[in-house]
Amino acid sequence: MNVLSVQNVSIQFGGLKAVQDVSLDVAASELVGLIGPNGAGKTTLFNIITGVYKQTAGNVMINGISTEGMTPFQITNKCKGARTFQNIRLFKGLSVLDNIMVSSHGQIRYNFLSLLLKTKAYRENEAQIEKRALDLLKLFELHHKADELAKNLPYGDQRKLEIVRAIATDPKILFLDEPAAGMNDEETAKLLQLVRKVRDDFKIGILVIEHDMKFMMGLCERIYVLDHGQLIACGRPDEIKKNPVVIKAYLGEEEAA
Amino acid sequence: MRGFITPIATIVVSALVGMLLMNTLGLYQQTVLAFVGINVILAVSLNLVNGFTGQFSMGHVGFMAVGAYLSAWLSTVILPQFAIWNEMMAMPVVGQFLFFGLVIAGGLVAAGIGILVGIPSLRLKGDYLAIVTLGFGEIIRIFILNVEQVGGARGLIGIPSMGRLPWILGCAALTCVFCYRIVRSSMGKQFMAVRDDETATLSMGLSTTHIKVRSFAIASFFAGVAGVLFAHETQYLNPGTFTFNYSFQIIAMIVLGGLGSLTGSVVAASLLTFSLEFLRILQDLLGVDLRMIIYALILIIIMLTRPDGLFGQKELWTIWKRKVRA
Repeated sequence: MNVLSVQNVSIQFGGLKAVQDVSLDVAASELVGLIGPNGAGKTTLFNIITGVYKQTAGNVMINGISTEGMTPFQITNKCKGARTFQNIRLFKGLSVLDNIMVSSHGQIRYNFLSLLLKTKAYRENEAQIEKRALDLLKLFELHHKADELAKNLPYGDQRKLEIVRAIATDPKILFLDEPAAGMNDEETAKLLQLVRKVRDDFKIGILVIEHDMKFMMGLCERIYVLDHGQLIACGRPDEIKKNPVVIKAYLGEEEAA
Repeated sequence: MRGFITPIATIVVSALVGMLLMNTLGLYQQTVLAFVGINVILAVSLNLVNGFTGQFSMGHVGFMAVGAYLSAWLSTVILPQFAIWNEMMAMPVVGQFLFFGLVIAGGLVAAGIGILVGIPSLRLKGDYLAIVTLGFGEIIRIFILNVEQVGGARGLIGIPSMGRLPWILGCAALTCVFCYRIVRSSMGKQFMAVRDDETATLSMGLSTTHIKVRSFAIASFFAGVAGVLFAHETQYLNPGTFTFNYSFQIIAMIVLGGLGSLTGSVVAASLLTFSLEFLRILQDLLGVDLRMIIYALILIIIMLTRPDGLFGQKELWTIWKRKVRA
């Protein structure tokens, strides 16, 4: 089953057709990329998928559930789709551990009264949530920074934490919005390993938007190319690299001699 | 059982201290202490909304008015009509249980109104939310002003003296314990997540509206409790008490103590309430009323030297620990 299936989606802002009749799929535990020149509509499509915008036509299914009429938090909860942001959005004033614990809210089994009275059920549940969060951090080697405030982490770790935080919501599909933005080559290489690891360890589908071609070609199993709101190509990285339509979209047409 | 020990011990200790103080201090000192306790409840609970959840509410005292008037109306106007209430009130221990009922009722109704007010207004952000909550606070006050059954503008007199210092100190301590437990739980940390980044909170599958309303309702509950205690301490209620001036004072306390620091709120609420009273002595000496000027100066100086408030977002013991380690 496809964890993400975008079916003939279009969106119009006034007279501008930002995304036109786009269809794409992500299979379970597949690594898919979405590339395109600036203004191609990648982020718009992302925002439609995650419920920030409402499409004017078409349908989005995440995990077999239509996102029709759902708000972003319902999409995360019911459809099991989690995202990261282009400009990192952590809970800056919370510790690294708390960032994960807040996102593990699906694990909360206690009610408010047992919280106030710190019943046994509450304490056990909280301990279990904390352990799960710590295990996740350990897996990504962030556990020794568990008590640091998120805003004090170095840039690379903030990116990492954002991805781990998304995983804490127990998604079936992860949307990464320009994860390599602002990273140097070394950090990008590490990120590539990280995303791979996420896919391998958690068996979740991942859809990535990114400008860094080297990163995308090295990471993705399949790449969709968007230009002027339309899909112009889809295929394996080596196919995309050679595709004349894609080259034209990025570099423009060769002038006639 | 471990979870019950702290609250129960807190109530018992503060109630005993309260009783002791009632027998040793003069009436004036008792009243000052009572106001300290009430202001601590108000400040700590408002900090939950303004500090921890990052939603600037300016109508906190409105919910206090709800608790105060509801309980006073019950204990002064409605319940004395029933013989059984009067009989039970005459009994020594039973009266305390009846007061407990009033405290809970006042808190719950205030929380209910808090939810009603919160659902539409918490969709707004920043300045707009502040204005709307200010407006709602005033609506509550003006509503009460026009209810003849609770005295309207003349105020409500003859409220029975109940609770007093043991209850006020007990409730203040309990408010601190509960609020501390809330902000330390992973459920309570959702409040801070909303404060730090609403978009990210939403994308983590959390309803920000739900979280904000919850925080607002909890704060309103404690404000209502403070109102019940206030009504039965002063034994007289006047809508003029619950103007936005009082809300501003509470806001001054939490800003001074540090938005996001519970102990900061406790310290600042005590400090400001006490200092207003100490300044009275100065007024007697000088013969001119410089109280509000000095009060304002204190605020200005502290905000200039410590813009994040006394404790910032930290609690007293974390600052202490760091000092010791260093």
